[in-house]
Amino acid sequence: MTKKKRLKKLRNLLLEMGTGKFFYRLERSGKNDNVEALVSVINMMAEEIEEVHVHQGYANANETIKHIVVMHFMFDAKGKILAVNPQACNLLYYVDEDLIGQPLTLLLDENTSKTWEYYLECQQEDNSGENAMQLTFKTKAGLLIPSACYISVINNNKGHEVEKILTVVKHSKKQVALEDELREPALKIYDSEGLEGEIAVEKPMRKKVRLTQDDIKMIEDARSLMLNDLARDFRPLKEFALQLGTNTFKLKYGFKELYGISVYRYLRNERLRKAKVLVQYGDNPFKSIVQLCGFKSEAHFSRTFKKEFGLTPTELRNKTFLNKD
Amino acid sequence: MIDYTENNYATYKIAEGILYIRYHIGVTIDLHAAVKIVEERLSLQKGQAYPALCDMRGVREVKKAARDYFALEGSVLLKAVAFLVEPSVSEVISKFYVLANKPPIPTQAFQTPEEAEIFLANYL
Repeated sequence: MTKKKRLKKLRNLLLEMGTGKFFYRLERSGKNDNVEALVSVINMMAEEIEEVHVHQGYANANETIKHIVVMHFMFDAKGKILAVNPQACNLLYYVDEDLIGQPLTLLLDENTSKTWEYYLECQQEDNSGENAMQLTFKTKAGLLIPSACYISVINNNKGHEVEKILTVVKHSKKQVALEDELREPALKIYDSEGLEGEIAVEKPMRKKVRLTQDDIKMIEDARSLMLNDLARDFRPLKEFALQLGTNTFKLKYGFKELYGISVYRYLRNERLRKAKVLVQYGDNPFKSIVQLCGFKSEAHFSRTFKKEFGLTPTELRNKTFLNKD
Repeated sequence: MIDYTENNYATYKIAEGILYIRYHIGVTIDLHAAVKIVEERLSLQKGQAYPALCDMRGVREVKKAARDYFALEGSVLLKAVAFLVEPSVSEVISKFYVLANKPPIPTQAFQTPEEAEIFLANYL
């Protein structure tokens, strides 16, 4: 592919992102030049943004409701496309006549074509119904859409397979959602007047405290401090907040807003994550893991661990050890 | 003591207190690969923490789930990480990783092994 063509694809991807579609990706070449570096950063950025869309925390707090973009494909037993919804044609830049009667591999990148063909082969022997797999679609213009796909088999009343349906769900934004939201309070006022005749205006919801850039920076610092020093005891929170130059309320509230989880729960999860890796793959005595990960005591560690993973640390270590042999 | 191992993604070697990881040319790292890579590393380390020199000049792509895994689980038992990179692709991937994932251990990218080793010497 020439540089010009690659840049053109890059431009197309940025245009798509501009309209709120962050699920497109650029195809990678084996080159190692500036364009390729740009392609790789933009792909990574798109991955990050796509994730933010799904995240319910602060990043989305002022957003309108997310719109769900779906692609549907219907196949016959041989994997030829029987029908497709217009939305999918739009996203893939095809018209439906191009697609009907064609194998799905026409729309997939090289790697996942193999995954799909392998799936179809297995299906002929063992028709097990529901399936989930990761496939990468390729638009007519060459942009990629990596997607989690759900495949269901539709049977007729004799239990014979008739068709397969493949569904892809994506997140995006649409202004319509905002308009619906705006309309909502007005309707509520109307309803309450009609019923009660006295309460005309709904109590306004408690307004969300806005986080400033400095607050966000402070909370990000709090997170890295905790991650870098899981062994430390962060209680009382008041002292930790003071160290960060803020107050307990802002730290607690802001953390929850930004990461969707409370400070202590986050700390607990990260401690457990670290401990799990150390239990599974390290050979440190549990006593040192308890210290390294900041648990209060071995008993506390063991209990929390079992609650989270369903196995005690000893059981998990033995299991990993046996699997290795 | 075994101080060398290899899998589909990388070769690992421990020498003079430094763990050397060299990724194979053209690898794409997804979550599955990241888990394997960390597992292999930890089984070689046998519970010891090391500074690591990670030659990622061959890496073509690191997916989001893998980046997240490296920044958390993947940093266990490492004192510091020096990436060995070259322009343009591996350099930019390492920059993005350090900026966006904020790994919990000292992490820097270098273009020569000598510079990387000087950096790691602080963590021996």
